[in-house]
Amino acid sequence: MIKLKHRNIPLTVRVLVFVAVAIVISLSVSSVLITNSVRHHFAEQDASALTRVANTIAQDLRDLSIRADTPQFSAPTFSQAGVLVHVETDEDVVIYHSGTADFMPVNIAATVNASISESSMSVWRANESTYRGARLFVATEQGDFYITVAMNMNFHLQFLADFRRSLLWILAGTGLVTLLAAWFGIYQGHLPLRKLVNKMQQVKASQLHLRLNPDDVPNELRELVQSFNEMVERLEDGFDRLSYFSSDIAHELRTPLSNLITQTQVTLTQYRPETAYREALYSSLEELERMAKMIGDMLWLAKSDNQQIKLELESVDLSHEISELIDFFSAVSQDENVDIQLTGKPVFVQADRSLLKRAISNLLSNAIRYTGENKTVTISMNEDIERDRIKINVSNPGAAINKDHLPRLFDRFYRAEPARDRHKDGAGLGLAIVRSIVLSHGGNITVHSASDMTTFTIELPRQPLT
Amino acid sequence: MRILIVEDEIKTGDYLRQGLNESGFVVSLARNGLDGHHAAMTETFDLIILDVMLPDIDGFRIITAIRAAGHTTPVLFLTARDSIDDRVQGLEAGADDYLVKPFAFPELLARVRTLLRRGNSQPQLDHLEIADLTLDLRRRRATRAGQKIPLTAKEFNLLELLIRRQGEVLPRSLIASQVWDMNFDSDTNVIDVAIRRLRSKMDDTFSPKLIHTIRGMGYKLDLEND
Repeated sequence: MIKLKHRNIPLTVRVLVFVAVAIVISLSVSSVLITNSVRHHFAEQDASALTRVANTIAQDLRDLSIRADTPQFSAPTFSQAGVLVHVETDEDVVIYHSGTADFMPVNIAATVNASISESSMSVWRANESTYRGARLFVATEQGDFYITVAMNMNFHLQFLADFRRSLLWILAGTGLVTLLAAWFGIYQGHLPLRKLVNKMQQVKASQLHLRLNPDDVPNELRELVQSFNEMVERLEDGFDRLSYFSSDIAHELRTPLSNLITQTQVTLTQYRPETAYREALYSSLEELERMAKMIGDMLWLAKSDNQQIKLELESVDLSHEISELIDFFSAVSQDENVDIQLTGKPVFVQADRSLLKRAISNLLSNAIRYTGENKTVTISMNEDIERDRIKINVSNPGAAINKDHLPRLFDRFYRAEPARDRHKDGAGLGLAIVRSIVLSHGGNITVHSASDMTTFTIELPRQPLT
Repeated sequence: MRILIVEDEIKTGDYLRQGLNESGFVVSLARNGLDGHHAAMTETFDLIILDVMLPDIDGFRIITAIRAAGHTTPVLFLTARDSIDDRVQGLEAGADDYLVKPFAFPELLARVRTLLRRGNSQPQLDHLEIADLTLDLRRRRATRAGQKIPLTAKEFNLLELLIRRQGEVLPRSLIASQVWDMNFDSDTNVIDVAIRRLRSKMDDTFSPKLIHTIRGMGYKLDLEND
């Protein structure tokens, strides 16, 4: 059995429940109002008829000359209107009683009404019938009288009961029709949603280029479609990167591996002097070391992608660290006849010292490599106090990097010049690692290459969010 | 020097034993935590190499037990997980150093020698000597065959490191870390260039050659290259 949680209840059911409750409430209220007004109308009618009769009788009683006389009331007038009359003196002598049935209330002595109106009339039961009426006291020169006027309510009650029953049926019918209409409306309303689901199902892993048109859906769904499109876009981007990455790995590892295999096979084809075996093993070792380093770098990047690199933040004195790096590279730069200059005021930043050094070291070694002899690599530090960020520029003179390469320069295994010596250049992961380090600090890296100067700019928040 | 290796991986254990044996150590190999624990508690070693990830008792528990029993034998931790927590936990439990797997054998050998040296501290020397090369540690001056050799500060440090650890193969990463305090893998050939420049000053025009390149591993300073 499927247990429905609150949030699992279908939208249709939710709306229909609300509609049903609203219908029941509004219909019951209107049925009560209608019934009440009918009842009120009957009571008013009765009151006016009873008043007329009571007034006539009172007038007749006042016109009597002698008290003992038997009064002659115009009885047909009463019965025509369905009014029953009972007249007695204050000494309980009945002078008139219309009809034969006893319609008098049981505790007759207690009830005396001042006048006849809708609200002052009494209702009582006698002889299995229900009566509405009033008992009035009339004082005349001939003596005091009690006049009781009443009407049999059976007919009215019967009518009301019938009326209420048919009203109920009518209301139930209209309620049901309204509910069905609402259900149909919702069903129709959800049509664009079902179409949307169909379209979304067509976006498979192999067809991530498909996008939905936000103009094809009602306004309420436009945002959903846009979010969906953005999500697919991110997925497509991730997929592309992943597939580039795997093919790059395959390519980068296959070449050195097949070299190793061939070399080992050739070495083993015939007997050789010991030095030849040693030479083969050394050569294998060098190749294996390179592959191990590349795999290590790739693992580091993968970890960084998954936010698994923990930053050990501390206050880093940039000028001190950069000076140390320049010292570290001095042997190489002197060898290549390249000068390195550090400019800018001392800057402090909260960062992982070792990672930041690695990033700058990668940029620096690139810069030295692509700088011509007797030229100067410049590192500058800046603070952007307003935005609470720091900037590190590493610039080197040299041939400009082609514009087409710039956006992909930080991609893994991307080489601007494919023919370059792999052994000298490393695996092409250096700049990818720089970017990962900068991103993990919440910063960003850009590259700008003009005719004779290439500048990499690292921008870091002075206080990275952790 | 006796070394105990506790390592459950067959191949790693075998090559560690062979490598250390051939470097002149007497090696005992325990292939699980229980045997390792037993050996460490009942025998005397100069150094214990301990794998953290063992199938039965993990390395943290073994080292805790060793330290609780009052043994001060230096312990080198081998951790497969490159996480700070592991390192901190290992060092807190009483390990003296750690090495993240996979590691290069010369790196391990260098660490082992450092740890063994730590126990019996080297006497404070004024001079270091090998063949006709002399390092005046006070005045930070190098002479070879009576000839003064002009060295930069870092070059002097580099040469001092090589002489102090003569006969050992020093991996590039260790040299970068000891001389320049660069504790990360660098893409560059800085160490090679620095060694080449050092050689040109104190080795190229002299005999015998003292600095030897061990391909695929690093550099070694020794009287003879074997």
